[in-house]
Amino acid sequence: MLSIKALQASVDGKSILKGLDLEVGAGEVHAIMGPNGSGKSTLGNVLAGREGYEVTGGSVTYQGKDLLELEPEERACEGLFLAFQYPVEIPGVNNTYFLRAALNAQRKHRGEPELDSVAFLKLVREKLKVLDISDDLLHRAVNEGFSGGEKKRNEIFQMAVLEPQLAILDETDSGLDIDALKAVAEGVNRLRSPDRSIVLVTHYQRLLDYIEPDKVHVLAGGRIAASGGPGLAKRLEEEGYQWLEDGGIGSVDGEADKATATA
Amino acid sequence: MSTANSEVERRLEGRYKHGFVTDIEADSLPPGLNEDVIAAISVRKNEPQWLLDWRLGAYRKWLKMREPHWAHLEIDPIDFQAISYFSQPKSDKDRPQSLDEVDPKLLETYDKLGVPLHERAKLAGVAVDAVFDSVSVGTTFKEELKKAGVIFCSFSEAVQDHPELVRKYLGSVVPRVDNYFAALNSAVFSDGSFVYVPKGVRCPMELSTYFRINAAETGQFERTLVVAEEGSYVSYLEGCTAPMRDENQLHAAVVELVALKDAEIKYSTVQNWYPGDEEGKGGIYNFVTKRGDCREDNARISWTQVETGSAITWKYPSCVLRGDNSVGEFYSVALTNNYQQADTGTKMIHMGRNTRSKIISKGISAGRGQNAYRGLVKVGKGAEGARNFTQCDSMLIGKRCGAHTFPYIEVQNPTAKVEHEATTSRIGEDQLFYCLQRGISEEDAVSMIVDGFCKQVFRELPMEFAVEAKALLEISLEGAVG
Amino acid sequence: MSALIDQVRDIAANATAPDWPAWATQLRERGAQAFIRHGLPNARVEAWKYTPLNRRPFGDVVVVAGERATDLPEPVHGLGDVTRLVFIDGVLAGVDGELPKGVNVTALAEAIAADASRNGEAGELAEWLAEPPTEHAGDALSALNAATLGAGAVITVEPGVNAGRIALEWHATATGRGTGDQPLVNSRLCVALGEGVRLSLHECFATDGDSYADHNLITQVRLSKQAQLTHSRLQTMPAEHMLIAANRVDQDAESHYQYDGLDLGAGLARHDLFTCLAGEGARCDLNGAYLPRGEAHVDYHLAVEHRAEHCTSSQFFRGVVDDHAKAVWNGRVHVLPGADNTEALQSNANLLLSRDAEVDTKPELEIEADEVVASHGATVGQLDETAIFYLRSRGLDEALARELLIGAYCQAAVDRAGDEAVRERLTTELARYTGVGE
Repeated sequence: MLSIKALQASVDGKSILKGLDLEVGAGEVHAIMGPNGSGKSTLGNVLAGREGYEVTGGSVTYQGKDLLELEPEERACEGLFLAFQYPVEIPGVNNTYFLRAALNAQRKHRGEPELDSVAFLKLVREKLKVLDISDDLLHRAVNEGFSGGEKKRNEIFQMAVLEPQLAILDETDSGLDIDALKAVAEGVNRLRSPDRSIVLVTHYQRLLDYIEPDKVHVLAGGRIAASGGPGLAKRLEEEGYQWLEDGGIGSVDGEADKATATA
Repeated sequence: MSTANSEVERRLEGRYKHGFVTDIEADSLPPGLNEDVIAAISVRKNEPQWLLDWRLGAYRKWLKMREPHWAHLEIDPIDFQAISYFSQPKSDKDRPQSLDEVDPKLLETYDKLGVPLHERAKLAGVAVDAVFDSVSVGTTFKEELKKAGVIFCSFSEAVQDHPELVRKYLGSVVPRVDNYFAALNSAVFSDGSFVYVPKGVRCPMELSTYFRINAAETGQFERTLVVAEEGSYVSYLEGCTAPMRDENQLHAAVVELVALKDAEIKYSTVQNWYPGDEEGKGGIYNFVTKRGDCREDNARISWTQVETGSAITWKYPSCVLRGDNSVGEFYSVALTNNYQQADTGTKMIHMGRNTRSKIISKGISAGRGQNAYRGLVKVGKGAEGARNFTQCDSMLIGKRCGAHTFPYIEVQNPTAKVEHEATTSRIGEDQLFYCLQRGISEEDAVSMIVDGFCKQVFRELPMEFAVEAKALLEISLEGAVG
Repeated sequence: MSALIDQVRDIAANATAPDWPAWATQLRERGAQAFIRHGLPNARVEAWKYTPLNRRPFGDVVVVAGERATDLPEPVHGLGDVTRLVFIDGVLAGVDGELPKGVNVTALAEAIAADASRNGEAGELAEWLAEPPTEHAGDALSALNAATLGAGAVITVEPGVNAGRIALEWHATATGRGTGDQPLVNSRLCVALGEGVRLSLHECFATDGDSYADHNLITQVRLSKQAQLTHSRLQTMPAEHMLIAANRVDQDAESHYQYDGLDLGAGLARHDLFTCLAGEGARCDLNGAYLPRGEAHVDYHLAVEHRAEHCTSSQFFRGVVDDHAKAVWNGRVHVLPGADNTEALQSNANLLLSRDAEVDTKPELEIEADEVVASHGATVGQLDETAIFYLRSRGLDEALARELLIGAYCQAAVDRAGDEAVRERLTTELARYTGVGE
């Protein structure tokens, strides 16, 4: 699905990603954790093609294509979805209109017929119901005046409607209370499927209490510093990130898993 | 409501604290203006021919220009032939070489103004070039400045000692025929200050001038020129007070600032000329052209002004942001009471790339005062990435005053960001009551609220100036008697 | 220019109409004299400083034929089943549909002739027509309009009537559009609403077909106590057209005037909106959006005079200026002595999208009263790049993302429209214009 090799990227001339490698297979859920400033958000933005994030080396292959060659909207049409850490408020643009325009752009790209408003509304209502979101969301402008939790739910809702192949959730858990967190996690879990990959970027382990990842990676200093199973996340929760810097990197993989297995 | 207001208004009827006349015989040219008068001024000042020609050129153009009329000023016609264009204290025949030689009556005058010149100058580390009427009478700290290579002298001296600098920069920011009053000034300017800061020098002290208008029917036409060479810095303070007089007096100054690469000029003004009496009789006409030129990259010019005096104030200290990344700032407090009229603001002309400007204007109107902000923010085609922020607030005290806001914004570049905000508010009965209920006197409450309103601007003034500015506002607003 | 003056001179010389009262002839003559004296305003006239009237010559002034057309053109108002007033070359050609009881519409020429029957003395209409329609008495374009007085209509509504919605359409007959010699139509509307009346008046312009004309319009509105007028204007003229429209509104106590404008066309469109809040508790809301492209020039001049206590006014305008276009916005609030407890808000926000475009904005406040809450804001900026990226990351292409944001930016003004049906129409037209419509 996604193959990142020795990716280097900089922002404002400052090098942030310094040779990042990551392989995500179809149907897998990966969690990328790391301390503040390790480059987590940069990764999401680089993959989505945000301006100002300059790729200075390495490659990203997505479904056999060179992802970095594509415009942001082409990436979206190819099934890549980024749930923003800070969803953008767009006053005056109606949520429903926005989402239909996005969905139809993607359908058109795939050679599918565009949905008319009736069919679209039907689809949207189904998704709302499944995600237990009130449909007054449809009448409001994109993210305008939304609470933090509402914005994050709206991101998950958009993801549910657009049904991406690869979803990158950038700190979708930050700033959420426990109920909102559960709701977001449940939304993500519903979308898990054998042909959809999900990358969770997060600072805290607690999201992983509700979404069990297949793999956990630690991002530090612009690289993947360690990879492992779900147990790695637990260890980070208990011990913080300091031990990584103390040189405990090598043998993480198996041991952490065993630690949780025997606990 | 009405009681609170009338109380406020009663307190506003403060008298002009600085109104008195120093009794010195003046050696003046007879009133009137023609080419002979201009030649006489030039001869008395021992000026080179090119400067006389420059004056005459301005004069000839001035004759063809028409007096401007602004929407918000009520001006009695000015009789330019009734004004005397040159006067200097009689005791000036032999120029005083130090403060000791200065006419004690003059020093007494400054004393009454609360400006004990030498003491204050020494204590505050300020060099003072005092202009009494039209001629400089005392300059201190010259030696210290000389060590740093800074030239700070009267304009007349500069013409004698540094003619090449004067010739290079005079009229290079404000062309001699820029406007009606600038042309008049260019023709008849009497004296003023000249500052030159060489490359890389940070001027070791704040430079300050106290202006004063005296002698009946004497127009005063200062000319100030400040040049900051590459990488230099200078802060210039200008303060004015004037004695009480019945007839309107014209004051038409020109100030030119030139900031070259990486240079910074801060120019601060406290203006407290005689505003006229409670019936609107007398007072100074203050028609000033002030302009700064950020001529090269990364230059920075900042204007700060506190305007509490004059019957009519007309001035728009402006910045031409020519160099890339240059910065222009304008911070202003203007207070009008009784029949005072102020029409002031700034022009920020963005020409270079990534130029920035900031305008903070606070207008306070009381009594029958009329206060207008008139400003222009212009972003030219080539001014990539230009930014402007303008905040322009008015406060009204009483029912008969007025506040007016005329901001012109002209943008020709699609990468520019310009923001203008303005509010109008008043000192409310509830605010006053709240203060009274907490045990604060009405007088203190008013000055507290006004002070809070002006804080953003006072912050920009050098410390000792800020104190004076605050005091001036209080004098202008409350009963100064007893 | 001199050709125009010559023509006005001619018109003045033939000012006398047989059935007209003397005062009407005098109004024409006075208008003609004033116009001949001043000519078209140039850049030195502050109120016209930014308006490029000299961009192309004015065409011939259309002189009123005074006859009604028998066949009315197809409706262009897009509001469904609504009574419409059809103007052709500025002349009231007919009323299409039923007028609600209590609503009277008379062609201006007829109203003037009727006023003559009162012993030839100047009546109320005479006084009304003599009022300066803009804040600046002696305005040259108003004088030109007065010089050709005759085309237009008087609309009156009797007290207490809920008059619903009426569409007002401007059509033209001249053919051969694009030959660069547009005729100039002058017309005048006088609208008087009695106490407690409610009316929504939607003005629009015929833009299809071959017909064309420049329009120089004056609208004079009088609102009695508690009357409410929602006045909307959708301007979709072709690029070679010119519209000059001066509105004067006089408001009595607790009346409400609302203007909702949308400018999507014309080479030059200038709107002068002058509102006098003369009765206590009156309120006016002036809203609009303008999106000039190509070589277009849009010019808004707003003046709200607060003359009485407890009045409220708002001005809310959004502009998006692209290509070589230019927008000028001059909003003014004047609070006169005694107009205490006034609330006034002004907001003008602009997006400047092109290197060759220009925005000039001047929000003015003049306060001479007590207990006034007034604020204004003006901005010039660009589209939010973060928002564009967000839209693109969802699959929208960049061009669509931009248009969507442009539409949304202006929608904020359209959303304030007071009449729901008009709001929908404006929304549809805006979406069509930005290319994001259904």
